[in-house]
Amino acid sequence: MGLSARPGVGVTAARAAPEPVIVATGVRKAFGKVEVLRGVDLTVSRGEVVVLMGPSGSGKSTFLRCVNRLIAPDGGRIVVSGVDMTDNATDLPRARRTIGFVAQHFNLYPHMSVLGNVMEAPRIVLGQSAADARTTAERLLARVGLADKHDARPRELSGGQQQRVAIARALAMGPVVMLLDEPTSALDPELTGEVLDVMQELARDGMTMIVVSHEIHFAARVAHRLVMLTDGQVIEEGTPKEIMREPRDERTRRFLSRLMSWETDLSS
Amino acid sequence: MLEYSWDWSAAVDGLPLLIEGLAVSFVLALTVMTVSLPVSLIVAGARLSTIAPIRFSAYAYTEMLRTLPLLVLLTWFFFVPGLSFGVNLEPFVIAVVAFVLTTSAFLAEVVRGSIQSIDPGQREAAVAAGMTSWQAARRVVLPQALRRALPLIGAVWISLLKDTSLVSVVAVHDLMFEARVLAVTVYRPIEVLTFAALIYFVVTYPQGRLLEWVFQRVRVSE
Repeated sequence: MGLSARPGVGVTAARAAPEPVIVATGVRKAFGKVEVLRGVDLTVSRGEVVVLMGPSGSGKSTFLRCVNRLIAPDGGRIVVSGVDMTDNATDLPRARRTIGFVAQHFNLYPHMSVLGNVMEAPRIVLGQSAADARTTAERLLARVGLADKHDARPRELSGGQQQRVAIARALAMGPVVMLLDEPTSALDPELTGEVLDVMQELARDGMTMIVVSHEIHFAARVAHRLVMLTDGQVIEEGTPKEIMREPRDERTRRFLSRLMSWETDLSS
Repeated sequence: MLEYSWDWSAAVDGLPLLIEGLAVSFVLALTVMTVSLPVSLIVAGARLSTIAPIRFSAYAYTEMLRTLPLLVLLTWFFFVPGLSFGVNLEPFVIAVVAFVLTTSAFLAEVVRGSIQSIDPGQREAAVAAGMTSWQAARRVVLPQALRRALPLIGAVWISLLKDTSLVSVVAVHDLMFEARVLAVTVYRPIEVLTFAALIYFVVTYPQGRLLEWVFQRVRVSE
């Protein structure tokens, strides 16, 4: 059984018939006079892993936060598993239950134990009994390799461990999709692997995901689709192979060559 | 040269009376704190509200009361309701009202500051997991913010305990009031007031140390 909090869900569906889970059309957002998103269209199917790349300031994180409406877009429409996140009548707390979110800086609750962090939302939001929440939390912590850290405080863990707890915490709500915002970019290089492994396993189990990441190897290995966001617009998308071998847009080419040149520098 | 012959007997004999006054001071401070804490939470919440009129009312409340001298407020409540509306309030009630107004305004600023010092990512994580704003505040933000505010709340408590000596001017029979009465009846103001000062010190100093010890513990377990 996989990483999903719902036993049995998602293991197969990956590619059979593309069923859209996230449909974003014409998403716009400006902060003051700065237009961060200028009409972003993106559809993500069930079981699909989309890696969102782009230069810093291109609007990746803003877009991700529009999907679960931590940020309210100025225009456009975003529908997640049939729920219109851009409709003001939508019960957002309810809608967010099925959208897992993992941030760059983990944001674990420092006043709770690791186990408490994972149990908190299921207990408070879903009203699960302590016993039920605990069973799920223990299972998920074991899956991310932290079964021995139940009683630790977040600050006692390494960054990689904290991020794995954050992933377990998001999974505890039994999400239909997972949004991960640069999950490894706050980590020391030697700690990114353990987090990427967890994400890869999640993908293998059929979790629908949007991952904002610059981990080119992760993208090549795990992503079904690579989406390049630049200046608030999708300038290019395709399989990682297509885009890495033959980027059509000059800006993509420049961005990737910069990423790659660093990678080769390191490996040579 | 002025030759003063010290005589502590009157002060020592008056100890039971002073202790009685101390009890009043203590009960007053405790009442004020018990009422002020929840009020300050509400005011701090209002100051962080997204609704402008609520935010502004809370701003007006804190700024007005933080700039009014307590003594002015005390004497105002002592004279004005009685003289202009014929409402005669118990001195103790006057003291509680005046102190709660200023203390809650000050504490509201302390609480607001500590709420704002919590990383916005904390609230974001809670809300992203499906919590309502209220659930996120109650379960995630406030427990951390209050822990951070605790040393300041402790400092407010200590200074409150001493500041209650102001209420002697509106005829609350607190420690200071009893000391002043005793001083003029036995005609030993120097000894009696020194003795009263000593009592304030003996009562507040250990509390300060105790609070510091508690804060150390709380900080470690964060």
